[in-house]
Amino acid sequence: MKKTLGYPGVLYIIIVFFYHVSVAFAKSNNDHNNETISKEIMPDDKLIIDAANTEEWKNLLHYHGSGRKSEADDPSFFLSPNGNKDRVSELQATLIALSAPPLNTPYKQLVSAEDERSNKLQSHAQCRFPARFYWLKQEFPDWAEKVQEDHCENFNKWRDEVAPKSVTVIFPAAYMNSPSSMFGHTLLRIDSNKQSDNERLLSYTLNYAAELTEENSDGLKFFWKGLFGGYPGVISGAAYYEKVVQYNDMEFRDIWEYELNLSDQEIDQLLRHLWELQHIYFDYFFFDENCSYRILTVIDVARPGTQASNGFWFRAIPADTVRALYNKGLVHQKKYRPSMRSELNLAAKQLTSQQKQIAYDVAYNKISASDVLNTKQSKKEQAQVLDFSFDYLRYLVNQKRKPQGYAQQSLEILKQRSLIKEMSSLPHEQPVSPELGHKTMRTSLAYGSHNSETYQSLAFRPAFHDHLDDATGYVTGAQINFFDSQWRYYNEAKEMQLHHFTLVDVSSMAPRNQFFKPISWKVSTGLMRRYEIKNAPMSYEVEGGGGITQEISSHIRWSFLAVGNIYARLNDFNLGLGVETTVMFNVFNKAKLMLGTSKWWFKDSYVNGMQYLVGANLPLFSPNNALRINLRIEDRKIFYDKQWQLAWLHYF
Amino acid sequence: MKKLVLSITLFALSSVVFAASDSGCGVGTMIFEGKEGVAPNVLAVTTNGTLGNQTFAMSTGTLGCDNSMSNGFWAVNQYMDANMDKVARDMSRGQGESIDNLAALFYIKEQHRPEFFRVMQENFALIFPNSDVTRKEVVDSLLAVMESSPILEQYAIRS
Repeated sequence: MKKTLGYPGVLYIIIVFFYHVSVAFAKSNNDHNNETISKEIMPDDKLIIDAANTEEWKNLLHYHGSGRKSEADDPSFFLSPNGNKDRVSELQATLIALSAPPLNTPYKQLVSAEDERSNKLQSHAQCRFPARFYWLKQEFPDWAEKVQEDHCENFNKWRDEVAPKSVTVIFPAAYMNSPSSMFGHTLLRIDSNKQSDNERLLSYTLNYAAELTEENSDGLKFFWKGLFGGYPGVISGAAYYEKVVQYNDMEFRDIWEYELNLSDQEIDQLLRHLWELQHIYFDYFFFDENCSYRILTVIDVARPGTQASNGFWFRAIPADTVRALYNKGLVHQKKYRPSMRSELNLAAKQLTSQQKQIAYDVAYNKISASDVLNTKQSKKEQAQVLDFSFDYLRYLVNQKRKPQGYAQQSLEILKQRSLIKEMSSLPHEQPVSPELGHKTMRTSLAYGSHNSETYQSLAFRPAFHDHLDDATGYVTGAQINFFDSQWRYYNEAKEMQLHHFTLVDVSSMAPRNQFFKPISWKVSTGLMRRYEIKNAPMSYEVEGGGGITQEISSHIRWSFLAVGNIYARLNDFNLGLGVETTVMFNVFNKAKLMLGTSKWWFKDSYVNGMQYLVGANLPLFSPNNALRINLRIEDRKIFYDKQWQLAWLHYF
Repeated sequence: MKKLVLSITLFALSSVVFAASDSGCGVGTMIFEGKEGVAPNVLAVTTNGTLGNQTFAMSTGTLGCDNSMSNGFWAVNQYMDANMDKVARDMSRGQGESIDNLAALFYIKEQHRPEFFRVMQENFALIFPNSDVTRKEVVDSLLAVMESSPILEQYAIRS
């Protein structure tokens, strides 16, 4: 639905109006009730203070980290005027509001977000904060006995409709073509006891994300605002099949489903708390207070003592949050849901090249679908060919590469397929899941030699993965480096030197084959030393380029890219173009070997020439340790530079 | 400071290719109807954002934008909007997650599901007669086919 300008403004006025109405109403209620809620029914002040200092209360209010302030940025999450900074006053105000006589508002059909918001603000505190109410009833049983309970019809009806049986964390894998999706995403799926295990497409999902409007969502703005918490983040609901279409079919992302082992009681409390978070804004910060972090904070409410969100105070990479779930013993089982592209890749491995060629020709309408039924293959094999052909054609259409007559051809394929009664599904192969890959921070100790002068070095990279790192659990051909830096101590000169500080280095070198033709690209920027000047001063560089990566065999890839480079020092700058070719070998699915050559032409031509790179990586025992060898030769017009190093890498 | 430095570098990066995949209306029907859908902001899909004013309860979603109902449950219509090509595919194969979930929307009991799959596969050409067929027409034909089966008739409820 398109939004019109000014709509948020009207909405804001409505919300503010209802907020003030309900606050006034609650206040007048309070003033009246303060007399009736005498000391006899309220717990002692001392007990209230103790309760306000528990982990459970902090989790319910989303006071994390230092515990001095709530992460909720929405005043309607608090019943006390300074509830976001004072846990005790919030607890007092909550007890008072919960004790008020029930309203028993009849059930109201809610069809829009504003309906939901205003309904919530008008309802009794017990219905706005059912998780707090539940917990406070356990904390203060004497008080609980004297409180009359509201029917909370809207909450109860919602809960009965959801009919939760289990909770699953859904993890769409990393997506290289969108910077904010490069680390993946997580959302929650609530599975119902009204459905069986293969009916999960109908399940209810809740997703925390930055709320965008037409005006504020273009690429650049999204970045700036996303980093600084400029977007309100809010939870929204949708059927799981919508997410599957979005992630599997439109973005070609694999999905991992981690079913949690929460008990019925814990699930109930989770649901109550999710209801409390309905339409509550938390400023969305891309690095730390993001979707994955938010899920952990909600799980902390469901199972007190878990504190799964601890330790994520400055960054929350989705794969790391999944590791936290495992470490806290929260995961029951995991399932793999391949993307459209992965499914095709899996099927392609099991078909003969003849079958693949026929399928390809059918998709491109070079052979008619009915001809497949006339081939000498068995009915089952024919079915497999038609299945692959349809799936591939659907992939092409979703990629916007629509062959001539695709609509009729796709229907024709299915018509022919429906004439074959045999089953045709191919067995599924499950890759290694993301949380089993190497951890996301990396440090290394190395020994090397630079033009015959030896050195030792220490390097650190806070995130995430490069082309030589073992790719188990990571997206093929993706490299994402942030703040990679290396310090060297040169033994002869007895000097410590920062060798490089890469701000960001991202590239995607997904391989092309008969069926898939992605484009390879790379972008990087940071400080590095260039050797054409004596003492190699630091320069600031920006580099970017594009090209292709071709799959030669399942273990060999060859890349060819055209790259541009600009670098600057205090007194000068230079810009140039290069062509780069790289061959990557995957040895026994463990070690990697990379050989690269590039040729450069610069405006100031003394830097023209060749660069040669050799890299080898061997994981040791676990994905979190590796041995790496690097060799780099610069053979340029006015200088020749050679360095090699042997490093031990540790991921943590 | 970290954030300032990072945002500067990402500023340089943000000209990087953004996948322009359409989150348009009836995207599930693209393979049949052969026309582009109206596209809500594409960036919302690819950048883990949501367009404002999404409901908390299971909503009509960003994918279905034809709100007129044909016969059949609202939930069936919404499901078919997003999944028509996958439903067609599974129907032609006589099996698959997409028609299993469709059967669940009709509240078809487990023991009657094989019949549902068999009847759908047999009548595939009736339900999907040509590539211009709309979701409304498909759901109507589906219900008609169900009504013609003595076992499935009881599930063919038109709302």
